[in-house]
Amino acid sequence: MDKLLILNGSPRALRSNSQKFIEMMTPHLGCEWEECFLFTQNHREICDKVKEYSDVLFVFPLYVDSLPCCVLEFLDCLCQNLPDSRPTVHLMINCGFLETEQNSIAIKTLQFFCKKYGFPFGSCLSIGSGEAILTPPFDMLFKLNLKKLAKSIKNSAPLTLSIALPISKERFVAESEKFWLRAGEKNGLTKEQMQSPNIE
Amino acid sequence: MNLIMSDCPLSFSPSFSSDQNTVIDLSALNISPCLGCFGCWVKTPGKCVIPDDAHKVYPLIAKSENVIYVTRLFHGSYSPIMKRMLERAIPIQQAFLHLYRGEVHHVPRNVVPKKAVIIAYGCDDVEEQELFCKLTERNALNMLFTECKVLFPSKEELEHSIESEVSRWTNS
Repeated sequence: MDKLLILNGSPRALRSNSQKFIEMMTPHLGCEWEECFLFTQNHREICDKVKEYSDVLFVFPLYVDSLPCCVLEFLDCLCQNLPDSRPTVHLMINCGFLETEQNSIAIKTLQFFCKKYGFPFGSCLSIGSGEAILTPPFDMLFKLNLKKLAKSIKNSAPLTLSIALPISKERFVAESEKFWLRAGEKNGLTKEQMQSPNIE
Repeated sequence: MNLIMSDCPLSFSPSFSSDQNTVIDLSALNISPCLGCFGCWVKTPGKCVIPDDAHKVYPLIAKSENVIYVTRLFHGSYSPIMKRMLERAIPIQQAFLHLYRGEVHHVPRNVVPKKAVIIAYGCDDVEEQELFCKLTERNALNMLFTECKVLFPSKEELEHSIESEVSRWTNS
C-alpha cells in the first residue's frame, strides 16, 4: 500500500464514533493518509482524489440496515467517474447493536459495488456495540483489532475482522438503557418522556 | 391506513388518494439528510429537530397498516431519495433497545405492524435484486413488517405493478 484515502461516511462527521475509531487506528498505519468527509464535502472532488491513492478506506455507521445515504450517493458519483487504476477498497463499519451480523448487508453492498466496478476489496472490520466498545477493559481488544486492520491495509494482506462486547444480549440491552438515560437526563428528560409513544 | 411512498411521481395518485389512502411523492418534497444528532431520541422524543417535509411522512409510515415503497434499485439498495426518507424516519423508534426475535433492535414507538410491498424498479441484474431482497429482510425486523413482498418491474411496467398491488388492497 502506498497512500490511503480515508472516507468518513458518518453524518456526524467529526463528532462521530467513526471519527473516534479513525483517530485510534491511523497512528498504526505507518504510511501517508488523508481523510475526507462524505456528508459535507464535494463528491466529485473526492472522486478525483481517489485517482491519487492506492487504497481507500470507507468508515461509516450502519444506517437503516445499510449504507448511509451520503455513502450511496458517493458511490454513484464514483461509478460515473471511475479511476483508470482502481484502488483497493477497505471498510470499517460500526453499529449500535450487539450483533456484528447486522452489518452484513452493508458490507455485502459495498463488496457488490466493488465487484461490479472492478475495485479489489481488501480488509473489513465489522464493529458492534457502538461506542460501548470503548469501555475498559474491553477497549483493549478493540484497539488490538484496529491495529490488525491498520497492519493488514499497510501490508496489503486482506483480513476480515469483527468485534463487539463479549457480554450477553440481555446485559447489553440493560447497559444500553443506562447510556441513553444519561443522554436524556442531560436534556432534562425522564425515562417515561424518552419512551413517549407519540410521533410528530 | 394505506400508504404509497414513491421516489418518483405516479400518474394514478389523484384517483387513489382518500382519507384512508395516501400517496407521497418524495421527489416533490423538501427532505434534508439525517444529521445523526439523536435529537429524536434524547431531546424531542418522537420528533425530528429538522423543520422540513419529513414531518409529513414519518408519522404516516408509523400509522399505516399497508405500505408500498416504490424505489429505483440503486446499487443493490434503495434510491438516495428513498433512503434519505427512511433514515429520517428514525424518530418512530426509541433510543432504548430490546430483544426482538432473538436480536437486539430499537423499541418502536406507536408503530402499527404492517404488510409491505417494496417495488424496486429499473434493474434486471439478478445478483443486485438478491442483495436488495436480503436488505428488505433485515428492514422487516426494524420496520415491523408482518409480510414483505419485493417486486422488480422495469420502469415501463412500474405503474401497472403498483396498480396491481393497490387493487389487492381494495379487493381484500
